[in-house]
Amino acid sequence: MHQSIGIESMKFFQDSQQNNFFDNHEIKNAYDVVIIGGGVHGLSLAHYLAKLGITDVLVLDQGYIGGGASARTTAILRANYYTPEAIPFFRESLKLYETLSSELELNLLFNQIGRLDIGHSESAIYGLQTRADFNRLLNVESYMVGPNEISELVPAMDLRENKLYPVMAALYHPTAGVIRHDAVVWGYARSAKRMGVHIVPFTKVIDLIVCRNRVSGIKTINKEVSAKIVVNATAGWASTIANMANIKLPITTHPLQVAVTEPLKPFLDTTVSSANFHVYAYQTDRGEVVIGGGVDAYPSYSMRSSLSSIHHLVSNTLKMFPMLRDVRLLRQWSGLCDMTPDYAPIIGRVNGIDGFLLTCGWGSWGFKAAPMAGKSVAELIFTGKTPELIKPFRLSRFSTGKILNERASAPAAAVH
Amino acid sequence: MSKIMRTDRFPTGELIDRLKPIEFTFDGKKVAAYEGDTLGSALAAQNIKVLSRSFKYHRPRGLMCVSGKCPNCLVEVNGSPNIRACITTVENKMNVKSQNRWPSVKYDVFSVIDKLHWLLPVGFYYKSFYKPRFIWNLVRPIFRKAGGLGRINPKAKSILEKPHKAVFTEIAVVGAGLSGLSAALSAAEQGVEVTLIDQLEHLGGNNKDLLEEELVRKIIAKKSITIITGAPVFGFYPPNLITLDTAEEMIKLHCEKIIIATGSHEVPIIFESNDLPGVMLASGAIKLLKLYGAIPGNDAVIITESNEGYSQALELKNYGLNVVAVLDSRTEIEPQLSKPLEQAEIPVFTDVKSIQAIGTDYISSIKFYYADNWRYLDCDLACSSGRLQPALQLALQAGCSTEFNSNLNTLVPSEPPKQIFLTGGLIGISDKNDSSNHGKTVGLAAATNKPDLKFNIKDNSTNNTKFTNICSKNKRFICFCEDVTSKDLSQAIKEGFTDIQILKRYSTITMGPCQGKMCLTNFIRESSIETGSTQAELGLTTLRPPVEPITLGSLAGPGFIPIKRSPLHSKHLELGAKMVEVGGWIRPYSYIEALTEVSIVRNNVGIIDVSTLGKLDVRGSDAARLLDFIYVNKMSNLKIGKVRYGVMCLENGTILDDGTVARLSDDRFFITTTTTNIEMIESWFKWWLASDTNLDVALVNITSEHAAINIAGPNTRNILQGLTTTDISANKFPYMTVKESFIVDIPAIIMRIGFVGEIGWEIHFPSIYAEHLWDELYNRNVQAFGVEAQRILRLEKGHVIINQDTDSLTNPLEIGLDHIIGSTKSDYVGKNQIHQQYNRGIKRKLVSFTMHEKSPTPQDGSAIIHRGDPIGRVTSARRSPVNQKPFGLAILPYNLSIKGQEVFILINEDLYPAKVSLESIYDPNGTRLRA
Repeated sequence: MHQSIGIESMKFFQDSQQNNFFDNHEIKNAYDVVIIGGGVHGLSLAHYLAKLGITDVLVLDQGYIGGGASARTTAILRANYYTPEAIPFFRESLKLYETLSSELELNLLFNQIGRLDIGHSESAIYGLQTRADFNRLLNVESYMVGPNEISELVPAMDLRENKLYPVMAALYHPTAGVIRHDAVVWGYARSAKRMGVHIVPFTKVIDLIVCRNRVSGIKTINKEVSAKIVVNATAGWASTIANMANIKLPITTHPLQVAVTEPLKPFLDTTVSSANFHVYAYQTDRGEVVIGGGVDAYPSYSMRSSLSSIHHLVSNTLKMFPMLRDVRLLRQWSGLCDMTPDYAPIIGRVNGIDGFLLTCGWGSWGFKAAPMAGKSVAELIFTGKTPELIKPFRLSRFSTGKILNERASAPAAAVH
Repeated sequence: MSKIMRTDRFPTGELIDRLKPIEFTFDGKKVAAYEGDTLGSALAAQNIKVLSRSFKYHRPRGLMCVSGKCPNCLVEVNGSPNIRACITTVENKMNVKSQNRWPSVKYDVFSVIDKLHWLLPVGFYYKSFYKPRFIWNLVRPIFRKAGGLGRINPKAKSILEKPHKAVFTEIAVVGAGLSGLSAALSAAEQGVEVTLIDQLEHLGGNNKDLLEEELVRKIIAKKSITIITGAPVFGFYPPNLITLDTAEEMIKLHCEKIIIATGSHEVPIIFESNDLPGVMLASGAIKLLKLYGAIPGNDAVIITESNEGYSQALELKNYGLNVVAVLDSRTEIEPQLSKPLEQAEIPVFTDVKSIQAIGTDYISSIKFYYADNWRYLDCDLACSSGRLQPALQLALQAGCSTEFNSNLNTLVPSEPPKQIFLTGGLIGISDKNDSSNHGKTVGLAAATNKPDLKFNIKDNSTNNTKFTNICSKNKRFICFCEDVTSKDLSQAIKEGFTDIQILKRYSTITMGPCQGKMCLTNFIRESSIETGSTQAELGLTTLRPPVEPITLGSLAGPGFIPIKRSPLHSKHLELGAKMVEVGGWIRPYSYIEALTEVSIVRNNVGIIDVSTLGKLDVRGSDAARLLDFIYVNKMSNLKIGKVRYGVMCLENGTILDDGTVARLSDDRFFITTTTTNIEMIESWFKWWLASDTNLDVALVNITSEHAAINIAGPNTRNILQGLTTTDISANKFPYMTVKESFIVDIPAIIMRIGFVGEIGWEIHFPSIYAEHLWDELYNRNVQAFGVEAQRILRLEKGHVIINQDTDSLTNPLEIGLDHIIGSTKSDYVGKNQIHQQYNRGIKRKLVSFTMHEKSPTPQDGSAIIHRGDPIGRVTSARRSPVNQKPFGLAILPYNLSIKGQEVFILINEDLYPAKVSLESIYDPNGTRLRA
């Protein structure tokens, strides 16, 4: 067992070129698949495509690898969603995460520390109850707990009853967790690279090559690359890339703001979210408290931090954890979320356009979906058939009245 | 009583008051101090060297920067964690504890990690402990225990809530060193109003001299300059807002222009064991001596790569230290530099190759490679001198880019946005005359809107050598917060992390409490050497707010949750009601048992405070037209004196809100909305009103102006008739009509409607009479009832509550308003989508259900199952006081919304049958309601 614990295999990692995370690749003139977006979704897709034997693949990113939403996520992984369409999809994604460290030969620091969605009012508990029931019926471990159990899970929580919004009950999802998000990106990138995928950062796609009803490649500033299939995995920029093929996506891009405190000794070992205050918090293994919330109300591509958002996040966190008043905030940042009207993703083909696939509309629920989304789209490319699990998320749902209303996404909770 | 030893101090010490000795405890031991001391200076004066243990290796750490930037002196003060000892003023009886150690800072069990460093290279945790899976869960608790710094105390007494204040200024000058002072003065001389800010308690900066003192005098005399000291600027936020964290308040300073003169500060030179206690920044050692008379050590070695080291050596000597030697990495030294040192008998070694600090818990000697030989010098202080990093956080947050500056051998901010100006050490100006002149020019440019900056900055760049590394057994720290060494950095680069952003994320350099203040320059420099890219090519990592760490309490300010109270609030409290929050209001949940209240309303009479209903007064010749457009129902054909239930939708055909519409005259309507939504509905009306400016409609939200009481129950008429002259008999005041009349001489809008399903009236009247009318009714032996009783009553009647029994996808057809499809209205908001839904066929429907009396009552929100699948949910459920059966409303697929259909409800892990019904379980024909 000592080998698995580390020492020998570590030396191996340090010395072998094969184990470098990134290599330089020249872009060829043609590929089977070009994936636009070198974040967790694009790289997960590249990994699963390569596993199916499709290795003539190019992944492009306008910035550094994993530098968009994947670098900015708070990386909470969970499956306790609301709609019967989303729950099984996220359940399967969570399962893939459970074995991903060994698949990618990288410790992704996946900590299944569970998740509490706290209800501070009757109306909040009402929504949580439905999720608890639907989750269990669809094989996701999830149930309601009262203040006593909450106090056991989170001794630091302010459970006084005489408050305006007391802690009344919570939805508990023990298999939820957090993961080292950058490591997931690097792991997928290294694995795809080992199998022959080309990954090229700092290369912006400025246009798609479209002839008649077919996307047949992409253009960068100094190169045209033809491709049998082009995949749009560009998160915040998904609608701008789709526009290049004259596809109007029902997506608006909103910033989501996050903050982290200085490191503290362990006091919180669960992710805690408040259905009423629209904040969530957890403590990393390094000791920092990560604080996040819903998306900003206005659409924007700016990734600058705002004072009002941080004020909202911090004051609401203190409502649950007043003892953090004297703790210092180290850093705040924001990322872009590609929001859909029904808080569910858009995956798969576009009616009337060939050679172009979407995996976008990932809003604030994308990181947790990346393995299953990548695997499903890879399967779609490999077999030519849309897997059952992602059928509800096709683009055409917006014109056929089959929209989903995924109320359990963090931003949706803030709106409804 | 034991007397505390007070170690002698040097006669310097501008800030301490030797006549006022005080004391505090550090890890339980008493420490003597003077008023004006910081925790750091007092501990240094008492020769207490080890203040903390480092993050990863738990190595001993002591004072290093003495300016609140590095992580080495983080301690717990009176229960608050991670306080920077070197900038925290001592207060008598402070209880100070070291952190991240067990059992003590001197003997820390976890320091064994330091010996295992070969096991723990950069990113080691990514490469181990994942096969088999459970290993990580076993190891993780140890990681967590070793990580983190301070401990939070749930009972710690919190600092006061800081108020937030917004202030406006024409020009803000951040930093009151020489260039900042010059800029502020020259701007103010142009007649512009200036705010000058510094994080120090005084103006003039750290190197205050005669030149600065003269400027400070002039600035204090200038009325148009507002001075804010002791105020770290912790953030820049668009558009041109900077935020200041003072001791008393958090200031949001809105500026037309900002001159950033934040200067530069010393950072450590990288050599072996450069983290050993006793290795300090020269500026830190000088500060201890100059400001506090505290002695950082007796025998000092100066390690430098610039001219700064020579003047600092002399300064230390002048304070009375024995300067053992100056070690310089450069080969060529100008004679005017070395001469004064010769006179002071300080030996200088140039072309020094490699340096190592030696000592166990504290430095005892320096080993260095000179003239092909290893040499040793005994010392108890090693000063890293003259490597500067610009304080560029604020400038970069404000939108500047960067360029390479040869003076500092690092990147400095450049190309500021239009309203931002940069000056001083921040952009690499080191010469005093240059600083003052550049400051003046910038101040003038900012004040006169002529950003015409032609200025030649003297090139003081030295030959930029660095200490090479000959023997590499010991750690050379780049990042002190996260314990990252230069070996870690090169390993990460070898593994392919060549981009600065992912290199940062992989190595965690700059991600600790100092947020790059001690390590950014070194990080970029070392990476540039390792990767072969220039510093400019590598660029910087993103420097995010806050610039200075700020407590969550300061950021949050005095927290409060806005909440609405009805004009009858104190009446409810008097009656001992149990209060609950509903849609932003505080409302009575119940006064007595809710079921008893229900039974009294059903059999006698009750009153409920419904002042929380949204109320709109809509007038004008086009009022009916506007309502026709906003409601899905037709309102223009509503007769005067009649009331109609109305629903409004969004453009996508989903339900937005509901309520009653009463027509008081041809051109006047009185509208109620749901309790929660009034603000949104008011905007909604105004939005559509604004879309057609020709409409003659005036709209007023009278929600708080009017109170409302609903009186209901079979005996209502007896009670109410006694209070009004209006005939309220069934013929004269029938169901769904409205009258404007008087009740006990109070003018009121009285509607005959019945949410709870009994004969009843909703009385809307001016709020000032609220308590009076309540008393008149209550004193006639009427039972007050709360929202829980109301929910049960309305549920028995099958009346819908928006957002409880509907969701954001519910359209009017799903709650049974099918008749609107036949509406003759040409258009209304949502019409198109509702018709599309109708043509496709609706998929869900809101239905009633009942259960067997032996089954438990489902929770609101419980899942409904059919053939094993979750197909719907209970929206509201209660146990009926009438027949003791659980009943309620549920959303089901349309094909199952058939009378008598059996479905199952999940309650406590079991399934219980329920039967669908399409009519209300109480008074389905409405005979009681219309009586």
